[in-house]
Amino acid sequence: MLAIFKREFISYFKSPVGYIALALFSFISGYLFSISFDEQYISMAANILNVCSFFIIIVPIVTMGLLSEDKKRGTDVIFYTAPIKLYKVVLGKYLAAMSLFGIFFLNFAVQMIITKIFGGVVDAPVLTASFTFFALAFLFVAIGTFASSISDNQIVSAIVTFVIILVIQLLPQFGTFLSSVVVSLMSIIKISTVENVSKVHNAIESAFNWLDPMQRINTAQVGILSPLSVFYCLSFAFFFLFLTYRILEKKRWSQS
Amino acid sequence: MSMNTNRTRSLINATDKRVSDLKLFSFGSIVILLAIILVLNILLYVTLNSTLNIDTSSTSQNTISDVSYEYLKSLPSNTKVRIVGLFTRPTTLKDTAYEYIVPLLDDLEEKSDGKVTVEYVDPNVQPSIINEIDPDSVTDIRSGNRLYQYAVCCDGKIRFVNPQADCFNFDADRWLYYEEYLPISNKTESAFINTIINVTSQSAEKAYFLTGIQEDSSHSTITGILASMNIESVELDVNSADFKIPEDCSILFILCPDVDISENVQEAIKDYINNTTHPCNIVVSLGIDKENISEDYTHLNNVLHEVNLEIKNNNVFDEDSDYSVDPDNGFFKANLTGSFANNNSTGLVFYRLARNIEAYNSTNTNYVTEPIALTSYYVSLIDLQEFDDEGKNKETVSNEPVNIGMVSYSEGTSNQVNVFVFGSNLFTSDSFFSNRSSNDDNYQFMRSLLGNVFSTHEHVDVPVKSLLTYYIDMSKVNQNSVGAISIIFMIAIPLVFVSLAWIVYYRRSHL
Repeated sequence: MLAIFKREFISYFKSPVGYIALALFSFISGYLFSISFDEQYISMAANILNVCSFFIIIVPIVTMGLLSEDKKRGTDVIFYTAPIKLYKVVLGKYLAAMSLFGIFFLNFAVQMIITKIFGGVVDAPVLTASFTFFALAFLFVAIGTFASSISDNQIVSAIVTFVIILVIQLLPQFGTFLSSVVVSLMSIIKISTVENVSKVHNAIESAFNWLDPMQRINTAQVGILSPLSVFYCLSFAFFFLFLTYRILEKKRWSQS
Repeated sequence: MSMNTNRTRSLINATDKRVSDLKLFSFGSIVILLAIILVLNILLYVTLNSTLNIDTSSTSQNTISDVSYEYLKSLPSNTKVRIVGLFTRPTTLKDTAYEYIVPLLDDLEEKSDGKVTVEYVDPNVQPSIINEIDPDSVTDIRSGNRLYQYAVCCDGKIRFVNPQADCFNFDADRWLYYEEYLPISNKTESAFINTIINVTSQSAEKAYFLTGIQEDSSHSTITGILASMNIESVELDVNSADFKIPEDCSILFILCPDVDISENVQEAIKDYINNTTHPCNIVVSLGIDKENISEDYTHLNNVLHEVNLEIKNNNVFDEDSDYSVDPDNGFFKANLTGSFANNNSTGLVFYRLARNIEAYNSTNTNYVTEPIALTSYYVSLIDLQEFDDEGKNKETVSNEPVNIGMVSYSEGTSNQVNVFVFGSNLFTSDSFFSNRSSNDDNYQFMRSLLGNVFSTHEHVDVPVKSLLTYYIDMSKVNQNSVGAISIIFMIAIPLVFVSLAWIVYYRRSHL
């Protein structure tokens, strides 16, 4: 697994992809930091969480080649012939992508040092925001890894990752829309009372909000670390990695 | 030949079955894992919800304090308080007022043990919520004025908490000089807990506002303060037959009358002061910017003489520039004195075209008078009734501070009497408060004053929390440093990585 991790991690810097992702991330985080600096009001926790909104662009770039590149080149056959478990392949590649996020985070470390130099505050909510940043990264990179396993075309993988993250980010809007539709239907078929309309409306919206990891972690904005939300992200990251593993394994038995 | 074909067929069938089994296993394991993850997350959410949350904010702004927790615990177990935010639950909290409110209410709900529920319903999306929380139209919620506020409901009672005005203290000077609302502290917890107290407790006290004397009829700000203390406000017409102050009157307001009270009203108030069996409170405010410029309030003064106070018939004009706010419009500031100095955060109040209030020399030793607000040491007193040879109002200069507000309280009487008289209507005027906010010094002063009068009322003294601030040291920041930071972080660093990407790409394409 270590060998796969090393190979994948180094490959980020042997191709333009890693540098482009770093450039993009540096620009986004730098832009937010510069605005805060200009306003002389720097909340690093807010900046870190704001960058999470841009995962929809950054994650597809980082993960699009993880498995699809091997498929395209045919080098994925090594995974099936070498004496290595498939889950180690998935984990090695996944951790390599996550390590890149670790390098991304160095941007924030530099910004925190500058904030301190200029007499700003770097307090405990920064730690909460950092946990949240990595929890979301774990989830979205797992989604990207899964998307990369279903196609041998990097662009297709990137688009699939983008669409899945977009759908996740739009879950609250879907919830609002669906609850309005259900409430309308209830009034059409005349089963709506003031109380049950309210209950149904709230229940649907709450359910969709509950499913949206971005919504669940938004309390981190104000310094609340929610272990359940972190667990939610990590458990679904595990699910997508398992899905990836199953897709790789399918190739083994479907070809025999 | 036929045997070979059969063997191949059976081999294919066996392979197909194995593939089909593996496919089923693969699909089944995915579904089972998804189900386990979903059920586990739901179970954890239902059983633990936010109990595991860790509030890392330095001011504990997201957690209710021990006093609030103890109060919630003391509520009867069948209490059902419903807090409804009349808007969609905000998703972006940072740098909004909701940053201090939404997580705190979540914590309050969590720690209330089911006695308090918090929900967010936008009446534009779900209009039925209005009928649900105010079926009898006892509030102005249908006018749309309450949108973006929180409704706190319990057993048919409903009160509102404004997320801006009620949840923060603001810098009064900032508003005064720059017309900007600058929040300086967070009192969200106090606002909600005391509103919960308000809707869960029974009110037996009433405040009466005298009407029929061309008074300041708009007093919703004072009514709001009283409502927050669970005191009902009622109007009392002086022209009614057999006028008398009702026995259940806890406080009587005479707000900025343009005409004097009649003799029978005078006697009724005197009777109220001298014979009521429970604590008696009277608040009088005057305003000479209305039609009562030369009114000498003979009967009202007769009442006040009873408690050793007197309204002087002059206009206070502070000549000290440090006390002038807008001298052209007669707008000045005054110092709160004695124990009243702690009634707001600055120890100052504002007044406009105020009358001078003084102690009245009488032999009645049952009442002690004290100044509430004093001017500077350099004041002109413009007589409102006497004129000089040129027809101008006579003017005298005082080198001593004069009172624009005084209190008289009883000592040695069987019942507690407090009479507060203010020479300016800026202490009670809706038109003044509506242009400002609850940050206003006069508002804070009045709220504190009434709070002290009714201090025996049930309330929880929740500490005000400071606001988080992330300002950097402005002395270290200049135009050059801002430019340098922008160039380094937005251009230089990304450009280095783009250059490296280009170099790597160039090398790969020329291998």
